[in-house]
Amino acid sequence: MATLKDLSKQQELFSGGHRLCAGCGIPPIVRLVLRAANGPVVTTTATEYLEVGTTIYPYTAWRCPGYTRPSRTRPRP
Amino acid sequence: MEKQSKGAASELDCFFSRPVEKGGFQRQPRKRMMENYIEVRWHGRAQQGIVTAAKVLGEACLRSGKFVQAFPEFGPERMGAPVKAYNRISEEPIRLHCQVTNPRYVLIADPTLIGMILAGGMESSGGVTEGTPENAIFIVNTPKSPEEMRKELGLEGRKDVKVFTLDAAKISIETVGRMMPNTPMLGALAKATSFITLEGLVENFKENYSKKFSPKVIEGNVAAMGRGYEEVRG
Amino acid sequence: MAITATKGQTGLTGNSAVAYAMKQINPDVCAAYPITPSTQIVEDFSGYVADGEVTTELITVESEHSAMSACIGAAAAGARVMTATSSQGLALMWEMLYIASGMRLPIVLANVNRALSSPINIHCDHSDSMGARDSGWVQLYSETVQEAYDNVFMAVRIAEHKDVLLPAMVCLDGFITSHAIENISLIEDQEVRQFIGSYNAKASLLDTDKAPTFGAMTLPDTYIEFKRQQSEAMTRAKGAAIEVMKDFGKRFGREYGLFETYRLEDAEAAIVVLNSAAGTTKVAVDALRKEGKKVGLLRPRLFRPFPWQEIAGALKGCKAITVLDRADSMNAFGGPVFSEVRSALYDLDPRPRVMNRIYGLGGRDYKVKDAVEVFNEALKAAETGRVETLVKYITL
Repeated sequence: MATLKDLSKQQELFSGGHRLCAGCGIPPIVRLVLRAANGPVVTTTATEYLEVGTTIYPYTAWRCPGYTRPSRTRPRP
Repeated sequence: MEKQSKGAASELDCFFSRPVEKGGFQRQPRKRMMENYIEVRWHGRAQQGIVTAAKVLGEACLRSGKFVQAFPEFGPERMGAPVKAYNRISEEPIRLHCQVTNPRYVLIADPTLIGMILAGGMESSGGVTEGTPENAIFIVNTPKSPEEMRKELGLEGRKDVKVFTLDAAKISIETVGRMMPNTPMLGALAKATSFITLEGLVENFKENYSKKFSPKVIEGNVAAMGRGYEEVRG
Repeated sequence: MAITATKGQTGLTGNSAVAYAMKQINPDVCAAYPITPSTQIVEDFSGYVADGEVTTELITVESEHSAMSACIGAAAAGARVMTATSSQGLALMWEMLYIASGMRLPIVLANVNRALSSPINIHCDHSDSMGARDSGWVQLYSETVQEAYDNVFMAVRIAEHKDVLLPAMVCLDGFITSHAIENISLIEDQEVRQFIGSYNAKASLLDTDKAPTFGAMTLPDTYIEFKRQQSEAMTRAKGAAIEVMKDFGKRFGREYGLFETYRLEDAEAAIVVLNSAAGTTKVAVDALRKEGKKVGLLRPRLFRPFPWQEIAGALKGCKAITVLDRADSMNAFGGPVFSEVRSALYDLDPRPRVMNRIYGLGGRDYKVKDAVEVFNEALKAAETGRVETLVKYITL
């Protein structure tokens, strides 16, 4: 299993400068997930604040291809 | 927006500057103006194969160079439910897309349907004789004689109507091995009418269904058509 | 399923013909969630997949919403994608239809027209596709089995056209066309391949170098520009459709246009009607013409984009026009085709009388006598210049 130190050397696919709140817990999670993924990465997210705050046209925080779906396509609680 | 900057007036000018029909395709009237087609109605119960019979008849007529339609009337599709199927056959492309309501040819695969006025809300629900013209031809799967069936169908007064009967159930059990009255009835139709021949039916069946069915099933059905042709009375 | 053709003709139901067209197109991905009356399309096609006759990835999903979602995902990845549905299925896709067109993904969908619940009805009317008319999909309508088959190929070309890049829907009448065996001439596989060509998506979700984002967030500063581009693409789809239909006619000898006219040149009264009912109406036209009555027909084939100028051009000589709608807009002012046609004719001078008749909902039969009645009423309006009832239900 990779250590956090190993993961920190992986490529960064989620950039700063997005519009999520300072202190928000989502970006570190996403960053960690993307670092843990080996090989080419394509992300898909259902509409929520991660997608809304990171893909405001014409900018994107994602350095990998991303596809956002309507919220109905994700499981509902 | 560019679309608007061109000005509404110039866009409307197209009515008068463009040739009429631009963008459209003008369909030429057909040469023969009379709608000339044969209409067939099949009555039976689900699983008796009348939808398939209409399909096979359509294919056989198509194979002999005709234009055809074959379509079922869908309702509740449980086994044993009354069902109907239809054919239109013509020398020319068929443009009508409405139900068949005045069929000259009526094939009844299940005689228990006679006298039943079917509810169910479909357009042409009702008795098996409904809408039939003066020169109608009925073919009924029954061991009874044509005279008896004419009476049961309530057609005594209609002199020009012809009634044919055959025991298609018995024939199918002896040839196909199970109760499938549809195939013998196709043979009977060839005998009772002139718009399709027995050879036409047999050849089409062999050609279209050899891949789908085993040789034994093909032989059985071909024999059933032959016996239907031979044994029909009327 | 083995299909044997005799003298180039074979007999297929509308559904089997559409499935066969899909087989010949061999799309990369097909999402499947069958619904009556389009079930046979997916059934036949899954047979082709199982028999190895196509290399399509068939995705069986748990709802039509998921079917369209799967189509969108696959199309975003650059695949050529197709699916089929009807009625409630299309209704459940509704949210995703807008996403497909907004993302400019040229998905092709066969919609077998069926009424919408409630009350439940599995038979033909156009409420389903008319409900999706503003979803940004190109819509092609088909009178016969042959035309449904041909439209599938044309839909692929129009949708993928470089000036368009919008999803397209091929509509055919439930049961009347979908379940009726009719004569049909099939096109050779090789010719299909030449006609549709290969599809190269402009952007792919799987392109990790360019790393595109699909479905980005747009604020009021950009959203309207996206929609304007989409609207302009839809406007261009008309030209693309003409180009594709011309090419189709040249290659295969079957001529199509944005709409079809029948004995309209000198007609005083005309019916405008979609799909299979047009065939029955043509029989009525011939019958009335024999009595010396000047009647004609216009059948729109391309309903989205709506070729309003061309349709107005074709109808401008008519004094009275009755638009037959197999769907009601529930606006108390007529059906969807009526609204569009009447609006298209507004600037004509002289302006013809235009009426609306709602017919055939839920599979109610539309017969020659119904068409004759409509024509006679229209002829009366043509003569007197007066419309007695603007909108009403017929075939009751």
